[in-house]
Amino acid sequence: MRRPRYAVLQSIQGRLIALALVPLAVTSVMVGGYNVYRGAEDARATLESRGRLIADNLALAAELPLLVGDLSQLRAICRTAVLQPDVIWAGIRDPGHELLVESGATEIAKQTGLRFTSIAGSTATPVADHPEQLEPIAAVSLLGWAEVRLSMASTLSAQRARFIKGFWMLLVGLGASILAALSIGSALSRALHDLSTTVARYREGDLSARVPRQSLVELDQLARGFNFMAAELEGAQQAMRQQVELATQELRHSLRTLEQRNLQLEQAREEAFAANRAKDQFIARVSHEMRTPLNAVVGFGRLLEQEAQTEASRDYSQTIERASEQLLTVVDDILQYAKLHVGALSIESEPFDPWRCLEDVVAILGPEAAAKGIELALLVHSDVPERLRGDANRIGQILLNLLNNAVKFTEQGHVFVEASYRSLARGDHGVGGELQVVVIDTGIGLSDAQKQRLFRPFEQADSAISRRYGGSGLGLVISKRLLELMNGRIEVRSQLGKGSRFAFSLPCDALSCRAWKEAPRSMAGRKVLLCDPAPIQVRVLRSVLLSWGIEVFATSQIEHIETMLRQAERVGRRFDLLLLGLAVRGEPQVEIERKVVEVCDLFSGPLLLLVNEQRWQLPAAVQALGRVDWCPKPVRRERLFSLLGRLLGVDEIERAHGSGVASAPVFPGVPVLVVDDNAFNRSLMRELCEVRGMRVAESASGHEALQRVEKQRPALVFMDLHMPGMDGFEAARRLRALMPQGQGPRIIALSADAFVAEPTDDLSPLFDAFLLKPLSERLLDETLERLLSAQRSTAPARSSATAQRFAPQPIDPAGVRPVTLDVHGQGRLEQELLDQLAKLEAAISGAERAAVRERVHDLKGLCAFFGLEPVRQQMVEFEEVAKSAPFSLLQRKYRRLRARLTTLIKAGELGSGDSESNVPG
Amino acid sequence: MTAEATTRLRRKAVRGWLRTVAAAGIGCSTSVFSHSDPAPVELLLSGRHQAYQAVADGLLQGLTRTAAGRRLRVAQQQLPESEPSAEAALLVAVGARACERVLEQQAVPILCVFIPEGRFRTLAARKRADQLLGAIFIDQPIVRQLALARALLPNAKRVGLLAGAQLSQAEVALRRAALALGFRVNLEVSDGGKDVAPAIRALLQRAELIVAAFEPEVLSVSTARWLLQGAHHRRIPVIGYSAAYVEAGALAAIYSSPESIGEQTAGAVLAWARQRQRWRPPVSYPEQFELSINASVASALGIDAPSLEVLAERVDRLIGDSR
Repeated sequence: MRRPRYAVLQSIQGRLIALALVPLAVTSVMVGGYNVYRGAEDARATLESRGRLIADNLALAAELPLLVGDLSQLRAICRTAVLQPDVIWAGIRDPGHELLVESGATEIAKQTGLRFTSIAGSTATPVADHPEQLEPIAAVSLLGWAEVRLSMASTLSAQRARFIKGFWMLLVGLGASILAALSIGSALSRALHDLSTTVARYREGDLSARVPRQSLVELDQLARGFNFMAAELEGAQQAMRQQVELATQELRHSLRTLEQRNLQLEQAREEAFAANRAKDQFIARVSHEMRTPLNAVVGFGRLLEQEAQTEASRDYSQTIERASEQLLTVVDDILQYAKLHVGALSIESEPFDPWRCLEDVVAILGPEAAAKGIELALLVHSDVPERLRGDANRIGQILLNLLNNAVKFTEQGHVFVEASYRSLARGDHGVGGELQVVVIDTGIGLSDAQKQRLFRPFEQADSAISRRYGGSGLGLVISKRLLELMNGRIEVRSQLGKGSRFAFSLPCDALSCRAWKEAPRSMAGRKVLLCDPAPIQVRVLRSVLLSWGIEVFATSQIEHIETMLRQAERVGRRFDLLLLGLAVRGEPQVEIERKVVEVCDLFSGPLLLLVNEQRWQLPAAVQALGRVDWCPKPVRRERLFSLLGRLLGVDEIERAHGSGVASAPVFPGVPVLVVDDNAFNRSLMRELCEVRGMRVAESASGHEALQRVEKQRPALVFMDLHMPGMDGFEAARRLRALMPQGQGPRIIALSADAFVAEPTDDLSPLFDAFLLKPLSERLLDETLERLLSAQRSTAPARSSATAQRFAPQPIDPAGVRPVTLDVHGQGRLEQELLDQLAKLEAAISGAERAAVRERVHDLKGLCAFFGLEPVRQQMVEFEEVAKSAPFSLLQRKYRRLRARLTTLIKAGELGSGDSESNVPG
Repeated sequence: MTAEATTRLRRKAVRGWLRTVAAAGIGCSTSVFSHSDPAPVELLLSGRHQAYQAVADGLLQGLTRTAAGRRLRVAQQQLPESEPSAEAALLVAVGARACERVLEQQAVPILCVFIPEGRFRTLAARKRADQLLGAIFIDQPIVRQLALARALLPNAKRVGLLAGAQLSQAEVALRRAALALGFRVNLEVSDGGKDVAPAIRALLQRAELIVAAFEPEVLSVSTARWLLQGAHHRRIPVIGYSAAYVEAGALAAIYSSPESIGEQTAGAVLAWARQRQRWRPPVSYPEQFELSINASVASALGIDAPSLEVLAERVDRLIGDSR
């Protein structure tokens, strides 16, 4: 390795030596030189001063001998002067500088000596007392001169000796400095070496490394400090190691504890899950166990009411029915809330008829409203599309909750439901929009504080309310939660004592932009006199009638009828129909009869009575007239339409819509099997079926049911899902195994389990329908109608299994009646259509003319079945062309056909009953 | 020689004798003064030395002793700052420089005091004929020194004097006075040049005692050292003319103080104030004198010196006798 320049200065020792030597040498040379110079100067000055002093003294001593002329004395003085050091010569001269006497080495003195002279006799002695005695001194009168010469030799030698001494002292000082620097430097470098070695050992992990004691105090302190620090660190490390070991032990202990805890937690979690499962099962069981007896109570209550002989027993049975329905509502609420709570509720998106949905709910509350003497009215604005996509059941449930509350908390006045639709943007399956439903009542209203508590579970606006009005207090919470699930919202405006306004809105795509079907020409322009004591009813009815093109003349007082009739006659016009609202509840039958007869006397045309009673009979006096009919309030639109058509004698209306009178469909002689382990339920089902003319057989278990099906071949099986031993699922599975769908009976699942009640794909292949206990007769009728009527009347379409399963309603022989499909049905139809198209394409590609014609024929049938008339026409043409046209043409035609059908499928208009040719003539 | 070894005594001399000497030396002239001058007497000092101020103080003190003197208004000026006023009725100059300056004034009587005799006579030679000029000297008459020498050394025969021009002129009178006191005079004359040393050397070889008269040209302070050293070497007593001379090594000295000269001047001024136009300015030696003796020197020379009072009495007597 190359040694750097001035390497010696890189070491501490070298630097120390330089530090000791350089200043010392410089200072010494400067000080020494200055001292030598000063010494020479001083010696010379001293010599000169001595010389002058000696000369002065010599002159002084020579004064008197000169004055008295004593030369021997002068000589003696000179000799004495020469005896002094350095004086080599002394002499006295007279005033004229003539040498009088001398002493010493004259020749040497003249060459080397320093010469000093002094005047003899120049000194004065003051003898004056004041200035007037100091006369000016005359010219100095000399006595003579004294002269001495001094040698420089001793001065020079002393100077030389001093210089040599100084030089030696400098050398000694420098040597001592070098030695001291070497000593200190080596001590320092040794100490630093010790330190660095120890630090290196320490760095390599030797914690016992210590610096040895040092001779230098500061370095010794440093070493001791380092040793102390090392000892502390060693101690600290040991302590830390111990702490780490301790902590590790504690950690191990904690880990063991944690593992145990985890195990416990796992166990607790499993227990919690088990408990949750048990809770779910418990809720299911409770629902089943509560609904099952309630089913029997409600059912038999109704039968009892029908069979009641006396008014009292009818009242009792009605009470039983109401109480059990109330209880059922509470149970339903709790179950619904529980389902919402666990997120087990799913929202469907199916096409539905908003009119029917809302009317059904309003109709449910009609009797209660009537019983309380309050008016209940529904106004659906004409902008509400005829078909919307959404969950009709949930919407109905929400409205039912609101309406229930409204009716419950309104003592007088009215409850008014108003529905409107706001189009927004076009959605995936139609026109996007928002359905808004407002429930306005004139009830007790809510305070601000009550409004804030309104949507909390189990809370009613007032604790007194719960006692007075009953209810679970869950209705609004469920409604709000349901709306949230459907991306809807609800808002409340209310004033205490003045009533409330609940408005909810939710997005619903419109499947048909048209509202109600166009009014028939024969009904348009008819004149109707409308009289109802309730202004709200007048408003609603007037709106409905106007939407059909009917001219309405309204009054709310029955006394005005006569006047209005007369006025009409006076102007030569007459009313085609009189629509009279009557408050029959609470009024004596005789009085009502009198009123009706009076009105019949006044008006000779058809009369339609609107009564706030569900079960009422026309007075005998007018029954025979044949031009009087009645309808319960709130009025269903279709019912009103049908009644008006009949009373006005509009045939096409009658044909298009059939009889407006609601009656249970009859399926005479259809064999059905009721499978239920509960005898009450079995007998209830038997009653319900026998009323509808069916032959009923019963089975108490799944096994028995299988045997009976094989033996008796029923057309329909009511299968309870929860049965001991083989349950309904298993029984249905085995039944399907024996007899595949299409060959075996239709199976309707029955369950009181709300959690099973949601239709799922699991149920679809096994069951044709699902009914929740307690049974709704309306739903029962609809289901029977769907299943059995299809079976009865679809013999030509049987070739398509899909069409068979999803043909829910009979085809109206009077015209092309569209088929309304549920979501599953529509999906399957679309799939079927696409399958057929694929097969057609394959046939065209394969140039199989016979297969092409067969596929086109099938497709034509499908289009006809679903009312796609223009497409069917296209298919007819296709069928003709397919006989001989080249396959390239067929290919083009196929593409056009496929594009058209795809567009229909995307628009969601397939099977919606709204396809382009469905307008009745 | 220390101050302790020196003893001094003030002694008043006989007035009448003095007047005689003065009248013999000064010529007089008449002059007229105005009586209404606001500051009829103006005092001009030669300098700031305390000796001049002591003269002035003595003058003022002397004036205040009489009512007439207290009535006189005396204005004091001092050289070199001030000039003599032309309006003064009487100018009193203290010291030779002041005297030289006031001599430039015309028609004003002038009294120069505290001035060496030789200097005054040189200045007086320059005065105008009509000018009234008087003086009171510093110098003692040589007879007083001789009297003091006789009082101390009754047996001495030869007295040596170093004479310059002034003393040479009065050699006859000097010898006469010396003779009256029993001395033979050994007079060495010198012009103050290179011959001073041989003159002193000759004096020392012959004289029994030396009287150092105030003769500036030959016996200045510079040569006093040689004289004193030689005398000491030869054990010859020296009679000096100042207290400083005694301190420098003389046996004894006789001299006058500035205060006494001032008081003497006051008398002259009062006389002027009384006589005015009849006043003739005096020219005189100091009336009072003081004695001083160096006991150490006396002891070294083996002289049994009497007390100063006794010595003064002897001096007075000897002066009287010599007259």
